[in-house]
Amino acid sequence: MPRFLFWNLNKKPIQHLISAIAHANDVDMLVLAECEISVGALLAELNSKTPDFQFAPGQCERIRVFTRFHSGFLAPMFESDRYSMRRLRLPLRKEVLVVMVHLPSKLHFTEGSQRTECSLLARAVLEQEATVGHKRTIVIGDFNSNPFEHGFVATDGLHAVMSKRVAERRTRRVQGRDFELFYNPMWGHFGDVGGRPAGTHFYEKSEHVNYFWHVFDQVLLRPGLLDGFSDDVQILTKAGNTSLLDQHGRPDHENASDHLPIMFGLDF
Amino acid sequence: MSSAPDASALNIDLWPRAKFESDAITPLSILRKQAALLGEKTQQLVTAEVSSDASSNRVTHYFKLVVSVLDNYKYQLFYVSHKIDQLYPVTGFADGNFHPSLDDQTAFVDWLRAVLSSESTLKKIDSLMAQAKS
Repeated sequence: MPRFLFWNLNKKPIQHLISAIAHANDVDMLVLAECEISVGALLAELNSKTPDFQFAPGQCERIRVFTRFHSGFLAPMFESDRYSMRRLRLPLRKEVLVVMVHLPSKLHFTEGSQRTECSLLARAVLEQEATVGHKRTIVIGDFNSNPFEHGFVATDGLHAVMSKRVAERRTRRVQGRDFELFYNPMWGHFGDVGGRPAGTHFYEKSEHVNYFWHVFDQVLLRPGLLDGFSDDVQILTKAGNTSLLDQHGRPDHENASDHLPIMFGLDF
Repeated sequence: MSSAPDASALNIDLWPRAKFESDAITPLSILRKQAALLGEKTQQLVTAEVSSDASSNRVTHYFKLVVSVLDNYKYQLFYVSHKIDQLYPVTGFADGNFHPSLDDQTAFVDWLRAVLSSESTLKKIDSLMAQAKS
């Protein structure tokens, strides 16, 4: 089962941690945001023992992709400065549309503008699904929004729900119009039940409403992919023997990144 | 007491003008012109297209680079939006930045010139040209 990993690196030169995670978890497709490590340096680290990984180039500079399979199987079809949409065509497997995103931060965009970005992304996904002629779509990345925000939940946004059963309806009719659904497994990752991290990103503000932990790093799946989805998205806290958390149990932004990586497997 | 219906009301034109005509140059027509010009400069290896959609009270125009020999690969260079019933102000989004208020045609054209001639845009086009030729 191919394994996918997404990590926002916060511009840190942490290629040794990326390599440790990729090899310890047999990652097949590595998607990175805020990556300022040169392609050569990262490939050298990833392939220091065996030549496993290739760079899968694209025009979206915010997203870098490395694959354990031939990068030619992952062809870019539509990109912008915020996202990269690619057709993943692995031998003996059905084609999947992989959408990788890094949406604007709350530091620069209002909630309304973030919602608009989600809505524009959702429309672009529909457009590309029409082009490829299927809806086997994964959307993965740092959305800088939580799963409960309107851009994620609204019909004119990503329309991503917390329940597989609801998502399996495939569409939902509102005011006479049908809207496609996504399943968002990240709803199950709020809170530190069982000692796990309470989200993927932590920030504390001195204001009245403060969630502290956020689940900005997410994966969404169209219902047509759910049969092959392990339902086991992991928020990783270790890179080999190195913890990605600081002494307070928050992402170690000094030695690693202010985001934690997410990983999942998908059979398709 | 209501007055009796007057059938002559069906035979009069209440509109203030005989014809509605507009010679306004819209943001969309400016974008389409620039899109058409790109193909001429790249031997049609990299072309551009403009698509639009409308939602709530705004219309959005997307400016995309297209490389037909790369399986019709598209790169969205920027997008702009304005109210459906008002051509200006235009809001422009390019390269991670947005310009919230391009108040008139002059401001819009100046912004567009800056986006099209930016280092980032030229780098994208050069890169796509190289791939299209290989």
